[in-house]
Amino acid sequence: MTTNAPVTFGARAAELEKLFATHPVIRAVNFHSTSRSQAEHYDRQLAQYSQSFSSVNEDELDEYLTTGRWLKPKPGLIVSVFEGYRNSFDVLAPLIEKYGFIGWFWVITGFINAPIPEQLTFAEHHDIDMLTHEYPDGRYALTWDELRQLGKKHVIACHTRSHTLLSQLDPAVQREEVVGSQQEFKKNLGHPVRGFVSLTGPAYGENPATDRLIDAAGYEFVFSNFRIQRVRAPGGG
Amino acid sequence: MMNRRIALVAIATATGSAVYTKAALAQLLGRGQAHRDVLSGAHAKVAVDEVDVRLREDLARLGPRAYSEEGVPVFLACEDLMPDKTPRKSAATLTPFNAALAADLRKNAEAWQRIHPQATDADVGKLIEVLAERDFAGGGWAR
Repeated sequence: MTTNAPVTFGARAAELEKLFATHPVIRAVNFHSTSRSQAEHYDRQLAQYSQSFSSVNEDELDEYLTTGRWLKPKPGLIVSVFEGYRNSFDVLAPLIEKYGFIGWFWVITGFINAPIPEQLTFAEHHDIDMLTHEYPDGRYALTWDELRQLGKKHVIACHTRSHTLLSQLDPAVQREEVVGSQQEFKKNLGHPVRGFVSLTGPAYGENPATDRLIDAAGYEFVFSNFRIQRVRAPGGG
Repeated sequence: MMNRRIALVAIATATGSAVYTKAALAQLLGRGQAHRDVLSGAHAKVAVDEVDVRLREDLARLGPRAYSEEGVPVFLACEDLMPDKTPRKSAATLTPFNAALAADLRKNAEAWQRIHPQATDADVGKLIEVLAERDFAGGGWAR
């Protein structure tokens, strides 16, 4: 009988050392809830980053993934905004635009589809942190209309339907999380989204069943904890 | 201004955890000399260089972070799995940034294990955050 020994700190660090030594690296900053009370802090943070880094759109990322060449004078910075909080639209998006960045909005479709009175409960049951309760009307998720507005200047991407660990789901439910959410983007945005990331950030290649669903849904980029993987050429193939 | 390349004395306890004491630090700083020695025994003195000191400082500062309301810098490696979905050696252009980041990761991973001998693989993510935080604060040192 063989047992899988747990990966040690040293082994994981060595793995990443090799990864960073042998692949193009890009910087990213990960936001989640961006409450109004922290707006000045976000403003200062993005102002500082704008001195040193430049925006990244999907085509630029595709080029960078393919060639490793970065054509802008300043290195790229991916500004990721996770979950689909309403304050992404109200607070952070204007700051992202003020400093010339492009936001990558990773949306949990079940969160924004939840009826307003149920959004806090949905968040509570789906690992969506709600440190600040700042909206008296009870709406804490983006609307599809807000997403369509964001999509004119920014990147909209998929963070599954329910923010659950995909590897623990039965195949039909997992399909809904990966492919079903893409169908919701197509229906509500008028086009598929290109990026995918799931809870805890497993990479493509870690779970063959999930990989097949990512392929079926037509995602091009898979983001994970330490990687961005290009798994499809633009427009398919 | 004090040269940061001053080694600090650490006390390795019998359990293997390493902590440096204020007394030991003051003693060494007062002498103004660098030590880099490792002695064996239950109370072995372990040299901890500036990498360890800076890492401790950064961990103390970044440890209590509210992830749900902060923008957290990270690095992401870019892998092109096309055309056959297979990981392979990257054919993309690499820069000095790659070597510098990898070396910095190794150096700080070694320090982390001196500071936290019981570290698990999950802690590596925090280490990446520390390195990214430094890089971002410095305006992208490997530009």
